Amino acid sequence: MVSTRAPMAVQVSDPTYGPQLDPREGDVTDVRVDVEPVRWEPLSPAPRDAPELVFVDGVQQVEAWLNVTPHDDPAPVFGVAFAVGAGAVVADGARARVEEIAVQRVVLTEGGRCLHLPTQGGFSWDVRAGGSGDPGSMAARVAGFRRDLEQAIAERMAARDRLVVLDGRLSFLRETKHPVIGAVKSHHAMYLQGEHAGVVTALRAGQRTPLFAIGDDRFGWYQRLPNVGDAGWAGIVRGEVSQGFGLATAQRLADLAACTLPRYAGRPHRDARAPQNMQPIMALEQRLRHRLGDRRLAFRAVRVACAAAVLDDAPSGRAPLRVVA
Amino acid sequence: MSTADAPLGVVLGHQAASSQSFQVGIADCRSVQVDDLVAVTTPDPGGDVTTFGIVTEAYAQIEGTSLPSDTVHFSQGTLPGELVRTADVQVVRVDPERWIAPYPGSDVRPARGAERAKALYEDTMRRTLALGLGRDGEPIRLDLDFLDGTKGGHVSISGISGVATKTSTALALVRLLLEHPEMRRRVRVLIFNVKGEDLLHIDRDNATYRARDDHDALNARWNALGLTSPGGFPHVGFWAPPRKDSATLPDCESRLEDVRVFGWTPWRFVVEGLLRFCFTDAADMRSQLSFVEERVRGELLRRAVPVQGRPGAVGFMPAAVPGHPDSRDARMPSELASPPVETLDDLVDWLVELLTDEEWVRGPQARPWLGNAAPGTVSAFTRRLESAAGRLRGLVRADAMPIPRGDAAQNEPPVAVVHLTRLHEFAQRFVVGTLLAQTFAAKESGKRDPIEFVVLDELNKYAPREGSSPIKDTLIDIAQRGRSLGVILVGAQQQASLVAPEVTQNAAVRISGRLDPAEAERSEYGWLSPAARARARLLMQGRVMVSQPSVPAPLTVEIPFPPWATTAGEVADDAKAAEAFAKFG
Repeated sequence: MVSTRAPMAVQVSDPTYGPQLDPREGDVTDVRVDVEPVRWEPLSPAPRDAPELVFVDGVQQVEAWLNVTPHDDPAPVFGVAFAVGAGAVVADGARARVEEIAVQRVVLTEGGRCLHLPTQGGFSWDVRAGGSGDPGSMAARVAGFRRDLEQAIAERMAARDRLVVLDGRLSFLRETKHPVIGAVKSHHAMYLQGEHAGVVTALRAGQRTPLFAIGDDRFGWYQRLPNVGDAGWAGIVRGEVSQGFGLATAQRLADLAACTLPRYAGRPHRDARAPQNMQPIMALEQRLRHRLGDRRLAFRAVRVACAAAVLDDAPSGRAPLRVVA
Repeated sequence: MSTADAPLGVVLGHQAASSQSFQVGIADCRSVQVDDLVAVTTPDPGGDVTTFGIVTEAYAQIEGTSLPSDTVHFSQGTLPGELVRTADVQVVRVDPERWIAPYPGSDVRPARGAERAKALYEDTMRRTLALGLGRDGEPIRLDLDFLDGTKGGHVSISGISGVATKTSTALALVRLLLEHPEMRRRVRVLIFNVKGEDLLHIDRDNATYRARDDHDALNARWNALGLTSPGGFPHVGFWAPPRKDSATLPDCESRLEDVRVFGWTPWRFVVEGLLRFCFTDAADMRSQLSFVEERVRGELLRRAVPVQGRPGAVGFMPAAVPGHPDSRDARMPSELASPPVETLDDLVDWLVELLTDEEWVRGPQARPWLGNAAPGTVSAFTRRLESAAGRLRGLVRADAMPIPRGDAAQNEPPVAVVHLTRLHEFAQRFVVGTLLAQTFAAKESGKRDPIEFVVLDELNKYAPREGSSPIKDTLIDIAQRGRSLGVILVGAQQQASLVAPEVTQNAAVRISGRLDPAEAERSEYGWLSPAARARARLLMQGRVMVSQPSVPAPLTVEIPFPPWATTAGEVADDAKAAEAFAKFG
C-alpha cells in the first residue's frame, strides 16, 4: 500500500538529556488555534534585518546533599549545597559574545533554620531555608534558583532593539517591557492535535506554524531549524511569547524567530542536542558549567566547611553540630 | 594606571608554572611578542622572589572552540568564543636565587630599566660592549671579559649567506670595539676579505645609509650602541696580492688607491718555514708528502743564508750553517750551493732540479732531505712544488712587503683588511695560514696587548671537521691558547657542523643568523633552545641570536643598517671626492 501522507520519520536522541519528545504525555489544556487570521498551514515569513539577538540560558549543579543533626533535636534536617549559573550571549550578526555571566552558590535547608558554612578554598555559599526536605522538592527548588537567575539576566539584557531568546519556557517570566521569547527544544507536551499537528511535521527550515494561544498568557508557534532534515519532528522548536505584547508584535517576533534562529542552529556533529540546542546556547552552557567549577572540588569544600557549620538559633555551649555531607 | 604601566597579563595556571618556564595570559590592551623580557614577583612564604624571563613563543586561540569548523562559525558570528592570547616564557633568572615557580594569577610586567639589566645579567658584568639592539630598542650588551680573553674569548658566527649575518655582525662588533672607550686603544683587527671586494670600502660612508628616510633614527640607534658619529671605519689598512702582470699593482678592481700589495720575501719564506702552508690539503697529511715537506723545510732552514747585495733574497750553503738564521751573515752568491733565490720560482726550480737528479737522490747527500721516501712520493712532492710556484706567483719575491704583524704593526692602522678573493683557493690557504701563524707567533713571543682580533669567514675551509692540516692546527691552537695570549678569533661559517669542534666549542660568544633548517637541528646548535632553533629559520635581515656565558638564554639582537659602505656601489660620492681632494689638492 502506498501512503499519500508524509513518509515515516525516526528521530534519534541522546538519552543523556532525557526523552526529547513524548506526544502521549499531554497536560495541555486550553490551546486555541484561531488566533492568527490566516490559513493553518506552514508560513514562510520574508527575511528581514535581524536585530541584535540575545540568547539566555542557565545551568545548575547539585554539589552535596546534607544531613544536619542539630544540638537540640535528634531529628535530622535535610539540605542541599548547589550552584546555579546563568548568562547571555549577544549576537550582532558579525560576532557572538558571552556578555553576562552570573554564578550563585547556595546552601538550602528544609524548615526554618539556615545552615551557615564558612568560606572554604574560594567557595562561599548564600543561605536559604524553607520547604520540605524530600529530594524531589529540593531539586525543584534548585531549578527555581536557576530560573530566577536566568530571568534576572533576561530582564537586564532586554532592550527595545534586541530580541532576547530564553532557553526554555516563558511561564515563569514576568511581563517584560522589551521583547523576550522562549525557545523550547523538548516537547514533553503536544499543544496541537490532528491536522494542526500535521502542519508542524510539514514545516521546512525557516517556516513556522501560525500562532496559537496557550492559556491566557502566552502565544506559541512551532518552527523548524535546519541541519537534520525536514522529516517528522526533527529540528522542531516551539517558540513562546507573552500575550502582553499584543498579537501584531507577537506575529512580528515569531516571524523574526522563524527567519533568524535557523542561522544559529546547532550542528549535529558538534552537539547531541542539535539543532534545537542552538550554537550560542551550547557554548554558553559549556562556559557556565566551566564557571561553576569542579564538582569534586566543590564537594571537598562543602565537607571541610561543614566541620565549622553553624545552624541558626543554635544554643551555644552545647555539643558540636554534626553535618554529614 | 596608564596602559603602558598596566600589567602585560598574568601567569597562567591551567598548566603548572615551573621555575624554568611558565605561560602568560596576555591582557586585552597589551601586546607581547617573542623576545620580550618580563618580570613577575611572587609572594612566596620564604620571601618575595622576582622571576625574570624571556618570551619564546606567542599563541592566539579562540577559547570555546574545539573543532576546526567551530572557528568558521565563530567568525560568522553564530558561535560565541573568546580570543585568548598567551605566551611561553623561559625563565632566565630569579632574584634572590630561590628557584620557586611563579604563582599563577600573578601579574606579569615588562622588565624595564633596572629590571631589564637584571634579566640580562648586566649587573654581573664588569665591563660591557653593546653589540646591537634588543626588541625593545635598548642595547644588548656583551660581557667584555668573555670577549677580550679575560675570562673567555673567541666568537663563532653561523648563518646562511646573503642575509647580512656573518660579515655584518663581525664588522659591527669590530667597529663598536674600536669605539669602546676602554678597548679602542687595545684592539688590532685582521680581516680577511673572501667574497667580492665588499670589505675594500668599509672606510667610506654608506650612501644608502645616508639616503634612507630613517637616517636620523639609524644614527640614534648607533649612538645608543656607542658609535657617536656613524660612518666609515676611520683607520683601515687595505692589502691585496699583486696583479699577475705587475708585482706592484694590487689585484683588485673597485679600488686601487690606498691598497698596498703584500707578499713575503724568499728569506722570510724559508726562515719562517712557510713551505708548510703549500701542503695544506687534508689529503697531503695522510700521505708521505708531509713527511718529505717537513724534511725539505728543515734542510732549507739549516742551510739558508742572506745574499750580499740582494735584500730579501735567500741562498743555500752546501752544508748546514750554525746559529739562528737571523744571526747568519750574508754570503756572496759565489759561496752558495744554489743560485740566489729572489722568487718562489727560483727556489722551486733549484729544488726540482735537485730532487729530479736521480743520481743525487740515490746518493747519501739526499738522505737528510728525503729520508727513506719512495721515488713516487718524491716526484709527487716536486709536482706539488711546481704547481705551488704557479699559484703563488708574485706573493713570494725579494722586494715584497709583508703585512706587519706583532710589534712591526705598531704604526699601522688598527684594522687591516686582506683581500683574498681573486687568489686561487690554494693561495688563499697559504696567505691565511701564514698570517695566522705569524700573528700567533708574534703573540707567543710578545705581550698580550694590543689584543689581535682575527675575522675569518668560511672557517669550515680552514678548520674542517675532518682531516688535519697546518692551518687547522694553527686555528685550534688559537682557539685553545689564543685568548690568554691575546689573539681572539672571530670565525664565521655557514655550517658550524662542518668546522672542527675544538674551534667552535672554544668560542665564548656564539652568534647565529638565519640557519638552514637541517643545519639548525644539529648538535652544534645545542646552545639554542628548540624554540630558538625554529626561530633561527625565520630571522630577518640584520637580526642574530647571541649567546654568551653570562646569560643563560640566547638573545635576539638587531644590528642596525651599517653606516659604512659594504659594497663599491654604496660608497658615498662625496667620500670619493674628499679623498681625491686630499690627494690632489
